[in-house]
Amino acid sequence: MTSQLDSFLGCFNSGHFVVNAKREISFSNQYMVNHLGWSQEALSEMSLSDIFSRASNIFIDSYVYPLLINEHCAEELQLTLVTAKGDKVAVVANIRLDEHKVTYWSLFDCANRDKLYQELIQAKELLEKQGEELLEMATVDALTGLLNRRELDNRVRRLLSQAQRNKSSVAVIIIDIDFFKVINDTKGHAFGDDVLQHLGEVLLKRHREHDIVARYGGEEFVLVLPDVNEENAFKVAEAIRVDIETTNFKGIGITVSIGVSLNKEDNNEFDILFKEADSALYIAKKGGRNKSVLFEPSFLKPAIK
Amino acid sequence: MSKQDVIRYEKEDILKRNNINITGGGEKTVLLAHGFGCDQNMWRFMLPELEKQFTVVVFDYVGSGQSDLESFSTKRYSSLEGYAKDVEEILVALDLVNVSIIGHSVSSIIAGIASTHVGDRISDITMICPSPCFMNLPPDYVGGFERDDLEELINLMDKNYIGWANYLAPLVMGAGHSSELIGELSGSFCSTDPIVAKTFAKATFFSDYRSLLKDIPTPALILQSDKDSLASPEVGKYMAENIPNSQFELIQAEGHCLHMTDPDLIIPLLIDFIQNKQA
Repeated sequence: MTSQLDSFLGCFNSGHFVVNAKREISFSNQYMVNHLGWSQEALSEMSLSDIFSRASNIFIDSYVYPLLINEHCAEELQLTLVTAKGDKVAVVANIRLDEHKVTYWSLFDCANRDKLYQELIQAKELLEKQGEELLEMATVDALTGLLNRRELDNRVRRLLSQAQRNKSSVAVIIIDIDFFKVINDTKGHAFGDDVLQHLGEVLLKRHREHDIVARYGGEEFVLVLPDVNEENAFKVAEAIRVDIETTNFKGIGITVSIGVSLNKEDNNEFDILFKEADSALYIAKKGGRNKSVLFEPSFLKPAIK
Repeated sequence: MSKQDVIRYEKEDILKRNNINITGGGEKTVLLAHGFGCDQNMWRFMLPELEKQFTVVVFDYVGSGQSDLESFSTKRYSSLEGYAKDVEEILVALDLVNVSIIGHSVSSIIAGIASTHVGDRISDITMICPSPCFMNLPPDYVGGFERDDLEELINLMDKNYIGWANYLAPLVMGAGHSSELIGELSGSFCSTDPIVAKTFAKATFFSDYRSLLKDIPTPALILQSDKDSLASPEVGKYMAENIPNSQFELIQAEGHCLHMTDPDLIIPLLIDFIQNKQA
């Protein structure tokens, strides 16, 4: 009976073998012998890890065995056999674990499926790369590398609703380059672009992990700082203003005006915060530029009436 | 290494983010950190014994198990420091002190990184089948794998994509469940998003944390399997030689998941170590 079973198993056009609790190969059918190029005797001396690639062994040890211990079977796993000659053969395995920690393996060649998957992976990687590029184009300002206005909007809204939940503070800071039109008109647009990039770099240099830095449009930049009080937000604004003022940029002096506003318990709307910071910016411009101004409710009063 | 500021999150947020489950009881707290490829369910064979003596905290790294996938960031989690931040933030948010960490495989190193930042909260680390570096870096170090092997692993994970995705069952499991329940929830085990799994794999297998070992300030117990295709006994000995306050035990068993296959062998050793804290 046993020998008949053996010969039957030898006729199957698929690999079947049994691995004991010590991970030794205790039985393998003729297909395994033919495929691997090891003799039946040699195989019976080998352990499971000897017939698979190293990568497959990591997969078997960190994924397949835990899965088997939990569910007693694992299906349709792609692994790589290594033959006596050292060639690699892609196979799909179904495996069962019994109560004595013995595992029963069925293997099928899957060279074609492997090729198809390889192509799928490549197609997927290409799509992912293109997706990332598109996302970058949709969220990043091409000139300065800062976030664009649209992404600023998205992130600030999220940040503000989070701040409302945690009752934490958020500062919105608008930075505007003084006399930018004059710079552009006298030095040319390419120079103007350099100035914008320079300001972008200064802002990036100062930004902490959770800050949001964006180019809002034209010569206007926005910095959003979570978890900061009025005093520190104003300090950050002043540090940026002084940094720009004291750096000689390609022979000309550049200055910025800055408006700062912080959220309040009853005011967590970005639109309102932006309007407030913008009104503070207006006061800074009116007061002679190269200034940072913290928002005060009186700035908006004439407009409300 | 310098002490690092850890962001203090709200306890509720962290409980949800890392799918934290707290069972057992007692003054002593042990934190169980799962390895690559699976989640906190890996610990279920050890939980009953540990719960008798300790308050047991289990969790899933962001991206694994039933953690909050929304919190996953490829940037943060493409190095083991990101996973260590999970551990640090858990300890801080739950205000845990004098904690014993039991880490499987890569979590041993993650716990080691955390110990260099919040060492004052960690009393000791038990490392199950650890390796500080899986790559062979001649002439001095044999991690067991060539770069090509590890590239093939990533490729193999991709090719088992369908298999991995099939296990993405959005089921909520707490610790301390019966085995019938496990049966019902069959399929949730080792559920991992393929992108996340690949990021974790790269962070795990392409890293080299050998230089970290000398900076681990807490006592460490290293439990290495006699036959483990991922981490050889030599790698375990290397760890023991380089962690100042460490103890090495070679377990006569097969495979890389001693906490699942041979809990009876390792539980007495690690309980003794945790209680006596001597390495």
